Amino acid sequence: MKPLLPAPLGDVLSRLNASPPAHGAIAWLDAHVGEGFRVDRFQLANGLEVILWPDHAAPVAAWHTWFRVGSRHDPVGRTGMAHLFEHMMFKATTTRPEGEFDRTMESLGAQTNAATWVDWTNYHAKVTTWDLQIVCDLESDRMANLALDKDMLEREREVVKNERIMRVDDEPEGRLTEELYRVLYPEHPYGQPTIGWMEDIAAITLEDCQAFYRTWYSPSNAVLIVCGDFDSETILAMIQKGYGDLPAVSLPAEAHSYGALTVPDEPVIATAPVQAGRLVWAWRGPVSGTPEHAALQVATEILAGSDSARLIMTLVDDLEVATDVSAWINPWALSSAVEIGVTLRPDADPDAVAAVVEAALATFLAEGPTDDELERTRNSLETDFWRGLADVNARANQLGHAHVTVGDYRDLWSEAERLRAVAKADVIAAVAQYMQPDMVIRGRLEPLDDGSDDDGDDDDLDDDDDSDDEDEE
Amino acid sequence: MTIDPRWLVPDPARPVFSLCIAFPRGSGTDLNGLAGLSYVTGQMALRGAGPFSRKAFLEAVDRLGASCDISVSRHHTLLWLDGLSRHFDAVVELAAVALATPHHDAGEFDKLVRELDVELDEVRDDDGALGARAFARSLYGDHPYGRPLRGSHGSLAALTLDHVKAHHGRLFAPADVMASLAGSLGQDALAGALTRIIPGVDLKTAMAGSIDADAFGCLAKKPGIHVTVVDKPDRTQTQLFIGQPTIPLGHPDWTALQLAQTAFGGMFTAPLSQEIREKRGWSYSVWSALQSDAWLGTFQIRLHPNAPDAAPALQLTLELLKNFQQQGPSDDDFGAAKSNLARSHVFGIDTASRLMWLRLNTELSGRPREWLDDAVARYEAVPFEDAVRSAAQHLDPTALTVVIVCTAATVLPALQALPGIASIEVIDWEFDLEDPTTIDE
Repeated sequence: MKPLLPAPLGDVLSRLNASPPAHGAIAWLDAHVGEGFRVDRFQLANGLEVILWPDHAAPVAAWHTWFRVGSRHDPVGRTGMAHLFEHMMFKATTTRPEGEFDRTMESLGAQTNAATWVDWTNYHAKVTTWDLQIVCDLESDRMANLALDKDMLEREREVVKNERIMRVDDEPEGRLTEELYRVLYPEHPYGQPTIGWMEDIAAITLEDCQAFYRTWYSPSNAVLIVCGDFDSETILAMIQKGYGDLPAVSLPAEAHSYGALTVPDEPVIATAPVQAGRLVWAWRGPVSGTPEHAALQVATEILAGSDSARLIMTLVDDLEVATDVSAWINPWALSSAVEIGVTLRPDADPDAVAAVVEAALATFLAEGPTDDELERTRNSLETDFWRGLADVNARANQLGHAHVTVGDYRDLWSEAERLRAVAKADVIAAVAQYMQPDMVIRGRLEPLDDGSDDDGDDDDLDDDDDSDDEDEE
Repeated sequence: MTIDPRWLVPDPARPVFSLCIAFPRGSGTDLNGLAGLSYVTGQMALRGAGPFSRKAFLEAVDRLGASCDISVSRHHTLLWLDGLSRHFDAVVELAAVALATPHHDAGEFDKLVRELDVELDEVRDDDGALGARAFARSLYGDHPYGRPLRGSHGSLAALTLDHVKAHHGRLFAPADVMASLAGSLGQDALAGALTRIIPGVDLKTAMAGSIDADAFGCLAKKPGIHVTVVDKPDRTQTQLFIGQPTIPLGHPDWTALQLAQTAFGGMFTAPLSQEIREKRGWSYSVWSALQSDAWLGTFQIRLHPNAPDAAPALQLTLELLKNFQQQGPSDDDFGAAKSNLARSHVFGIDTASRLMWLRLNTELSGRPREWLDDAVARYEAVPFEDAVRSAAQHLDPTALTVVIVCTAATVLPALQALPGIASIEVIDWEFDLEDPTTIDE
């Protein structure tokens, strides 16, 4: 049965809406009610969504601010904009000088950071219960009053360049992944790295940052999620006061083309000074929140999600040709990528290993999973689900991701149901639809040849890069 | 069996459990020349036991959606069990079989050693891990803390299955065991699990007072600033490690030193981060930390400047440390550090599994039981003068080990021009990871 607004909460809203700020009238939208807990969603008149999950187990709370803007919204020629801007959000506001935000948070002992990915940017803080008002003040202030200047931008640009080198240019796997995604999504921003191409990072101007802020950082484009030890009326009053004077802002329309997938004859290759090479396969997958996405999640678990998974047993244990095998499907809003990665032993023949993997995939496609594999995966995913709910920050993270990518925070529970419901035929059908051999982009990381010119091969590597996943301040 | 209630951390809201059983021996008991013995012994228990082949054992654990792992530190061996509460007994049974009837199969042993040999070489592919290995080698030298937990090529070659069989009984002996359970299960579950997994188990009630802090000997600071350059091709960035041995956990100044070093580099707004990252953009990440156990402490600074910035970043870091050691923190940084440490304490105990582990780890590291409960008050009680004195007394900017992973040609000339460096050694990134100690049984 659809949860209703309970009378006490209705009374709370009546009190808060008696004389609200200009844009701060609060409406209750919906709820998820579970055993011993309840999660409610509200919306202010200015469009700000608020999701509250009270839990009094420990005197802590997570406060997340999710903006529906990520690297897929980076302007043309300005890849890395969303990520660099995320860094700028920790600088000054018109009411607080540079450094005050971080010093205040650190003095609270808060665990605070931010993350940018393709579909969203998330600012998060875990604090003790009695510090929530301070977090609300700081977060509402930087949503409305960020003060940007050129000196701050130039200093932060250097930090981001350094971060890019750490994550991508000097990180062999980062280089390969970046190039792989460029081929997988040739015309779509999912093919661009979240951290940005180096030349684009260098080109971002103060005016770009100001325009980005005005366009995307408003209550109309944000979701507040608070999980933990608080009283709902107190928090709603706090939010209404902090955000209720901010007006709604119209958001630009979005249109993307994915481009036709051209599968190259040869694998995408990167070289690096490594002992162990790596093989990667990547396919375009379905959007998050669908049964097909769930079926491919189960498929990747069965292939390489546990110690007894098929590819791990074959490549690591039986044949001893790999040290690690991973498989996953990323949870994006407009598409997804299914990836398999194999870290080779130094003496392994990459062609032979690739043949084994592709033969195993062909068998999997033809026969599907065994009942035992399905049981293992269901139990493993159930354990993961419960583990993921222990920490209030992790909870807020999952709610926010679901709400911004799938469009409904309740997908946290719906997804668990979808995963439990995946049957053998679903896995076979999803693998057949999305993981065919003629749809795969293959990638290889190869060790530098002995005696090669160590500093002579860099140019193509530095320019050939991936889309990394998630970047934090 | 009577279980002290503090070893049970209830979490009725979630149908999952975490059980940790701590055995009082770790890699510190590895025989000379056989580094990795305890780790290999632990892993061999999971590679076939009772009616299970290795593969069947892994499948049985996975079928329950559980995990059954054995980790080894220098001083303890930990059996970790995690899973759904409804599968608790089944997971416990698997662990019991693993410890009681390991196959110690020769083929599995050879395979494990081959895996570990490859892992050792793979360390070189990760600049941070490579630097950490080189840093441990430079800092600890022949001290037991320099011995790799998972062994070296040489020690692995010297290990035999007979060593493992003999060590298994020592490692998993039933005396002085400690255990803790978090989740929706109660005292009977923990008592039953201990009895099943460790027949004849003898629980230790407290570690405090029973640790010989001198057991691993003293690690003296080496005078001078000694730089090791790990030369790796194709690097545009460097991985920079700076550190020295300092006081262990039980030292009366430990809390004051932790507070002082937090004020120096343990926060984003501390001077180290402000000068290196915020003002100059030299390194995305930069921090200092005090890493201590009951026997030894290490003060460490980490950053990863781009190659052209490495020498100036090192020079500035050394200057900042020197000034800090002489003058101590500012009032403002001291206050922020104190508040940060006191108020963040709750985040280490805000879930059942975190509280379970922190309680157990507090005990294992020889700290008194009240250490955990008094943490906030202890930080708040440190006077400013104690922080200044502890920094002056226990940090020494003239005796530092420095390791830089980089392409040497891009950094070396600038390093050589730095003042105050006692020595610079350049080693190839494929440097010998061997354990130099001889076999002594």
